[in-house]
Amino acid sequence: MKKQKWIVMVLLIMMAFIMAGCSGTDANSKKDEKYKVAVLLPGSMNDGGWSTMGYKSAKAAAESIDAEFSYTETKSPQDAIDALTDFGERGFTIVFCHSFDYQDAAKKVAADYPDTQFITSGGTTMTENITPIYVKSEQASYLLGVMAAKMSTTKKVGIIGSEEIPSITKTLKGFAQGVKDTNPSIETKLTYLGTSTDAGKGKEATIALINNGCDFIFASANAAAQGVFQAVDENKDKGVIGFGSYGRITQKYPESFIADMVSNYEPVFVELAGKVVDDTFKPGVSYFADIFNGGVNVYFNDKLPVSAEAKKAYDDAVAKFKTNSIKIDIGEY
Amino acid sequence: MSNFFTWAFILPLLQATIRMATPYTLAAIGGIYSDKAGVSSIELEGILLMGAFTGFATVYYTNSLWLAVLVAMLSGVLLVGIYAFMVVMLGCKSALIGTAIVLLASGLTNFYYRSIFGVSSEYTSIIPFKNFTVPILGHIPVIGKIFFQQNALVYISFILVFATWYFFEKTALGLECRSVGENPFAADTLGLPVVRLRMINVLITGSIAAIAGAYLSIATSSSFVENMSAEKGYAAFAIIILGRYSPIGAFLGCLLYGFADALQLNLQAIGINVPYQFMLMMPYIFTLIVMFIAGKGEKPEGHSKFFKKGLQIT
Repeated sequence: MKKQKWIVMVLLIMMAFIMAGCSGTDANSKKDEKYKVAVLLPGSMNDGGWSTMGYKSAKAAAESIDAEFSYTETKSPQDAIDALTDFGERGFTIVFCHSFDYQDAAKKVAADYPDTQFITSGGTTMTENITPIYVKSEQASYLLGVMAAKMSTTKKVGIIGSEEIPSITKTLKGFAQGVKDTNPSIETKLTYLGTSTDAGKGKEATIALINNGCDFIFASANAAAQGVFQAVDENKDKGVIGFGSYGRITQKYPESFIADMVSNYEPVFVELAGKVVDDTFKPGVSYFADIFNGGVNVYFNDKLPVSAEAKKAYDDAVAKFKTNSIKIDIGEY
Repeated sequence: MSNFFTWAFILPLLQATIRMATPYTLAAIGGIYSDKAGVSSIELEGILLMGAFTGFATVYYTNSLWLAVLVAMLSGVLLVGIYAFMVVMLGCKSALIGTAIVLLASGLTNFYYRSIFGVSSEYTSIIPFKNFTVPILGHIPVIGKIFFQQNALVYISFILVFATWYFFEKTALGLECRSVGENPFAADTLGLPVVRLRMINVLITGSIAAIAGAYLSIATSSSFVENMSAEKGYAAFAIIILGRYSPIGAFLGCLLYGFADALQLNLQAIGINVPYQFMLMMPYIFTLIVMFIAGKGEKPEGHSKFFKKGLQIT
């Protein structure tokens, strides 16, 4: 009996730890007249990619209009509906729905809460209070593909995706098309992991691509991409070079990563939040962000510069984007 | 297609098989201890996560990989202690408590990871275990390259497989543990401390499975990613059944899983034109085939039966 008591004590202490962990959320103490901004994330806010970016951008948008800020990570479509209903009920001004497929949940919920603006990252649904943002991240990955095609010596490049969903595939398709448009003789090998969190699998997939002769690697694989980055860095002696995505990977691995593509929702989130506050917001139109207005950027690495030929091809492609003469086929969206 | 049956394809594939099988192996070998003693090991997934996080955090602060393995084992024991108490001593349903443990581990690790390392797109990383070649064994042609040019935790998993087999098959204590799993009431009449043996076995499960978690964050990759165990614990739970509750059987099952994982990645890398979803199914198809041919094996008679002194359930 004594032993049981002791165990119960240990359990209680552990519970206390857990409880202590729960109390750190954003308190909504100040009620009146303050704007409320929320973001809904499809994955862990710490996935080092898509959701991290969504969280930070929405937070910046909230700070720009001095709003109260809240976030929710969802695990299932029903979660999204519940969370959106909850935000609507609590009178949020703006809810950033940071995933292509949240448009379905928004469609179900939005009509009941006309005072809340639902802004979806990606998507095609437009109503009086559902507004999609489209960030052309495929432009940046296209540019990386152009450079890879110019620099690959083995004539093989590898690309890795987490899962076959529009926001991942469009980036990968952009890269593949960039390679193909620049040099059709180069082979692009595509691997899907089927997971967004298994970094070990990302690493093994990269090693497999390298063993099969790929000398340039690009990944859009959420948190699993960490494994890809590590594998590229460990194989830099073999002449393997990587392109980073959704983060400044070139700064972390300056000897093995030559350029990063970073799509950034912050400018457009902040802009829209400002418009909602000024009452100049036009709902139900699609907002675009691309390489020209800061929605997507390519960052180079000073310590590992690209070849002059690749830089020239890059500049040419940017010029073509400007005149709208490149059409990227991103498949069904 | 032509480069399909060449050494350049097969050797890296088999090396990857061992690397990818190791987390399954460690988890499954751990799980066998509690399964043999008649306690379901459905909580493995949670222990993996816990081990992955505490192992990573320890390396981050102390730079000591071996200390990290120890700390991971300790955290696994603590976490599984809750499970053992609820299931072995109180007789709660293992599926229920197991699920709770997994959710708890996922929440705890995510929370503490965020509060220690923050939310950033730049992951913190550490220097992981390095591969080293075992003297003599590592120089055997082919076999040496596949089995004995890996990192230390892989070798530990090999040792544990045989140690576990030896323990359950060749030692008196192992036999006692098994009899507690087969028929706790009979074991009790023979004077065996049923509850204590079960508790100890479950705690051993926690310590070994936590190494599997640490393997993920400090041996294969060099950072912790939230929910990085990616259902490997559940897979190990299934592999134990597939391996008919025997350490050697489970090890073979793990190699099969590792092989299927490695094969699908390597096939994609060759550029075979098969939908990737199909390749991802391969481990599960293998499982079904093996189950179909070999049958599911006998689980210990007293598996998942609650035992309390003086309480006789038939």
